[in-house]
Amino acid sequence: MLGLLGPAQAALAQQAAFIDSVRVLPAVRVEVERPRRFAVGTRVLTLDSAALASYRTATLADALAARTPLYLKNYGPGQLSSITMRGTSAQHTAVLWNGFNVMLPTLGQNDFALLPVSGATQVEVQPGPASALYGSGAIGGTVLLSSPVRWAQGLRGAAQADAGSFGLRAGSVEAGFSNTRLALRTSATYRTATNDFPYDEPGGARLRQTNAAFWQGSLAQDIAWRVGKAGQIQAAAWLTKADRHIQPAIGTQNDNARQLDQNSRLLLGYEHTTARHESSVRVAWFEDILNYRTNTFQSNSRVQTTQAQVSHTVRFSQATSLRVGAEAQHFAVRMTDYGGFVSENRFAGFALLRYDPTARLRLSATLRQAVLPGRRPPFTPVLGAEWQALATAQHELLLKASAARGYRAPTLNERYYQPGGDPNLQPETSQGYETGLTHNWHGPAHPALKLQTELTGYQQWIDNWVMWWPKPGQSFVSPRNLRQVRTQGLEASSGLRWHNKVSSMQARAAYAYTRAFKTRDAVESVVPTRRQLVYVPLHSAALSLDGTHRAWQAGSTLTFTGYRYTEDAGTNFLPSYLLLDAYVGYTWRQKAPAGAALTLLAQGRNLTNQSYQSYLYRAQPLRSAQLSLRVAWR
Amino acid sequence: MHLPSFLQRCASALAFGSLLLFTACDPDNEPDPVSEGRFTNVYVVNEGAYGTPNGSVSLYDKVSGKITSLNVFKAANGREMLADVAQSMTIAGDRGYIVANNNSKIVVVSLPDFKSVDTIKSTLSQPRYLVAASTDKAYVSEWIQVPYPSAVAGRVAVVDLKTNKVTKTVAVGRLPEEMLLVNGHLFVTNSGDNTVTVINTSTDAVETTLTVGANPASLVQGSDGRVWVLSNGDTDYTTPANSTKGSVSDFAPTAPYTVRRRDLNFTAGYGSRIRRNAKGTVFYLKTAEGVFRMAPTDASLPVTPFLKRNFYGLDVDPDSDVIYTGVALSYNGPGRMVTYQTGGLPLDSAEVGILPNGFAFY
Repeated sequence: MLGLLGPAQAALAQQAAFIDSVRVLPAVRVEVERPRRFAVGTRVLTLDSAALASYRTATLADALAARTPLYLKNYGPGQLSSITMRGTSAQHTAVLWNGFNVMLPTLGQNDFALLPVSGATQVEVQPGPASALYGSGAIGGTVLLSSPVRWAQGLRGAAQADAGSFGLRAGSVEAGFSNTRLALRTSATYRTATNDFPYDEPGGARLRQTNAAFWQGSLAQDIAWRVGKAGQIQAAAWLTKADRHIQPAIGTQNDNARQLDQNSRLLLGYEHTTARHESSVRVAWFEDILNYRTNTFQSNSRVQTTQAQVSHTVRFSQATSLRVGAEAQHFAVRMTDYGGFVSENRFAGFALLRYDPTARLRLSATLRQAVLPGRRPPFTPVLGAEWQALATAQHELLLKASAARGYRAPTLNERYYQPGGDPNLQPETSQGYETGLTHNWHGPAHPALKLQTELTGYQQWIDNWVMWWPKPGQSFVSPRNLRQVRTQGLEASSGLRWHNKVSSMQARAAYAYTRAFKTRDAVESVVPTRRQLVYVPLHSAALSLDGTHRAWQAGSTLTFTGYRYTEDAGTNFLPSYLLLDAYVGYTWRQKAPAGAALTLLAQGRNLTNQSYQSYLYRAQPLRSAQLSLRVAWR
Repeated sequence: MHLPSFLQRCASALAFGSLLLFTACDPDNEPDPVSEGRFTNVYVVNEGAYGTPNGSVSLYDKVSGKITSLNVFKAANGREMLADVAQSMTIAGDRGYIVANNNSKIVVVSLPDFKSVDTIKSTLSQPRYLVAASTDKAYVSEWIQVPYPSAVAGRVAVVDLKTNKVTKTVAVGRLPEEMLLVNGHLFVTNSGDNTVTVINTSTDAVETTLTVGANPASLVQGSDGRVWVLSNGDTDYTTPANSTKGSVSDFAPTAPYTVRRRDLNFTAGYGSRIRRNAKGTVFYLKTAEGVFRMAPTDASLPVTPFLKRNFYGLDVDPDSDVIYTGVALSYNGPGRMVTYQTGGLPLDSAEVGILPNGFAFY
C-alpha cells in the first residue's frame, strides 16, 4: 500500500510496473508460500524499495516515522528509537528478519535506529496480535524485513554519497546479479553525524547539543540458489555496527555515555517445493554485542542465539493448504549484570491452515504452542476471514475480521538480571479482535487512476503486563506481572495513484486513533484510572505525496503526532507536533552504457523549524538539509 | 504539473488545519498559586526520573491539608527548575537550597515566593546535601566521579552564601551523604566506607575520622547530646549470605568521641535514614524493613517496625512532630505523601511528584 514511487526510481518510470510485482518466477516453478498468506483478515502495510528510496542510507526508525502513522519514541537523531504499535510497549512488537526474530534477547525489544534500511528490500508492518505466526512479542504488531528474490535481472549496481546538516555523511554501495538459477544481492552502507545541532532549552537559552555523535555501518548479503527442479538454497548475512555517544537529556550533565552495538546475523535455509508439497529447513545464528559505559558505569553483554525452523506444507488443492512446523531457540549470554554465563532453550510448534471455500471467501486458522523453561505460555491461535463483498470492473469491497491470542516470553533480563531477575515470571498474554474493510477503485485507463481505502477497528486486552518494581520488603526492583491493559482504536488510510506517459503521482493519508489504558495495577496504593498510557499518542497521522515528471521527482511527507503523557499517572505531557519533510531530485539518464543514471537529490527535514521533543527532554534538530548523489546502472 | 501542486496545497491545508484541531485537543496545564505566608509550608522534594531533569518541589499547605502546587518552582518562575535527581532541600533564613544531584547544581530560591535567586553550579560535583552553618556559610557533601571502575571519591565544599561561590573543598571518605553540625564540628557520613569524617568548622579542616558501622548515610543529635548514626549495611545480590547488616552507632559530639556500635538484625539498605522528633527524645529509623522507633535511652535496638511500609522519604515536622512520608508508586510517575501522627495513625495523603524523597518545613 505504501508502494510509492520513490525519487531515484522515479525517473525509471518504466520500472514502475515491475516494482509492483517483485516476485517474478518462471511459470514452471511453484512459489514458496510466505507466512503472511496465513494471516487472512489482518492489515499489512508494505514499504517496498520505491517507498524506501529516500531512506537508502537511513534507518527503519526514519522511514517508519516519516511514512507511517506509527509513533517511535526517539531520543534524538540516530539515538534510541523504540516503537509502540496499537498502544502497546516496545517489547510488544516483534521484528522478524527473513522469518527469524531479531529482537535483542536481553531487553526483548529492538532499537529501530540500529536497523539500517539497506538490510532488506521490503519492509512490511502487520499491526495486531499474531503470535501464532510470528511467535513471542507479536502482540502490538510485527515488522517483517525481507528481500524477495528477483530472478533473471542480470547485473545491476548503485553507489550513493550523502552529505547533510550537523556533520551528516553517509554512503552506500549496492550490487546485484541474478539469472534464472542464482540471485545475489550485496548492500553496504554507513552513516555518521556529529549532531552538534542547536536547540532551545525550555525557558532558556539556545544551546548546542553535545555528546550525540554516532557512526553506524551495515553489510547485507543475500544469496538464493536453485538446486535441481524443486530445491532452493537461501543464505543471508546481515552485519551491523553502531558506535554512538548517548545524547544527554536537556539540562542534565553530560556523563559521556557511549554505546557500542554490534549485531551479526547469519541464515542458511533449504526449501523443496513441488506442486503439492513444500518442505523447509532453516537455521540462523545471531550474535548481539551491547557495550555501554559512562564515566562511572560500565555494562557489557554478548548474546549468541542459535535458531532452527522446520516446516512442511501440503497444498491439498488450490483452495486449501496446511503447514505444520516447529522451531527451537538456544540463547547463550555472557553479561556483567547476570554475574557470568547463562543459557536457555525455547521451543514452539505450529500449524497454519489456509482455506478458501469460494472464490470470494478466504479463511485462515493458525495455532502455536510455545514451551519455555519452567513456564508454558498459553496456546495462541489466530483466526481470520476475508470476504469479497463487491467486485465490479471499477469497485472492489473486501470485509475482514480476525481474532487472536498473543504472548510475550520473559526476556533474559527479566529472568536473569541481578539483582531482581525472576525465573518464575509469567509470560504476558493478550487476546484481541479486529475487523475492517478495504475498498479499491480503479479509474478510467487514461489517465490511470487508482484509489485504495482501508478502515480497521480493533480491541485487545493484555494481561500479566510486566513492570520492574520492588517486591514487598525488597529494596531493589524486580520484573513483576503487575498490570492488565486494554487497547482499542481505529486505523484509516487512503492511497491514490495516478500516472500518464510522462508523469506519475501518489498521494497517501493514514490516520490512527489509539486508546490504551490500565485496567488493573497490582502496585500497592495505585488505583487505575482510565488515563491514556504513557507515550501513546491518542491521534497520529501521516500524509505523503510523491510525484515524477519526466526526469524530475519531488515529494513531501507530513506527520502529525498527538500529545503524549510522559509519566505513569498525572497530567504532564509533551505537546503534539507536526513534521514536514520534502525532497526534489533530477535524474540524467545515459544512453551508453545503457541503463546508467545519475540522480541528484536534495532533501529537507523539519521544514517548519519546529522545536519539539519526541521523548521527554531529548532535543531534536530544527530545520536540516541533505544532498545525495547516486549513480546506478542495471 | 498542475494536479500535483494543487494536491500538495490541499494536503498542506488539510494538515495545518488538523494541527490546529489537534493541538486544541492537548490538555491544559494551569499554573498553581504560590504561598505568601510562612509556618504553614511543607516543601516536598521529588527526585524526578533519573537522567531526566524533572525533579520538582511540591508545596503542601498545613492549614488546608492540601497540595496547593505540584510544581512550585514552575508556578513561581514560569519555567522548569531542570533538576536531575532533586536530592534534598535545605532552608536557611529566607532562602531555600534545592540540591540537584545528577546535574551538579544547587538552585537557590527566596521564600516563601519561591522565586529563583541564583544557581550554585561552578565546581560542584554531584552534590547531595547542604548544611547551613549560618545564613552566610554552608557545607555541601559531594561525590567526585573518577574513571570507571574506581570507587567514587568524596568531598565537602564550603560555600559562601553571600556570593553563592565555593570557597574551599575538603576531602572526605567515599560517597558522603548527610552531615550534622554540632558545637563547631561538622560530622560527615561516608556511605561508601564505614566512617564519619569530623571537620572543625573554625578551620574547615579534617580533625579526625571515626569508625562506625558499614555504609553510614544519616545522623541526628539526640536529647542526650550524643550523635546517632544509622548505617545502611549492604545487600550482596549474588550471595545474600554475604550481606552486611545495618547498624546504629552513637558517640559524644566532642573528642574523644568514643563510638558505641550496635547491629540491627537486618540490612537497612540504600536510602535508609534516621530522623528525630523536635526534642530528640524519639528517633525514627526508615529502612527497607519499615520504620522503627526508638529512644536514645533504650537499652537495645528495636526489632519490630513501628510502621510496616516501605517509604521513599521520611521527615518529621519540628513544629508538630507529625511524620511526613513519601511513597514511590513508579519511577516515572507521581508518588504520594502520607502523614502520620506520632502514634502511627495515618492523617492525610496527597499526590506529589516523582519519587518523593524528603521534606523541608517553612
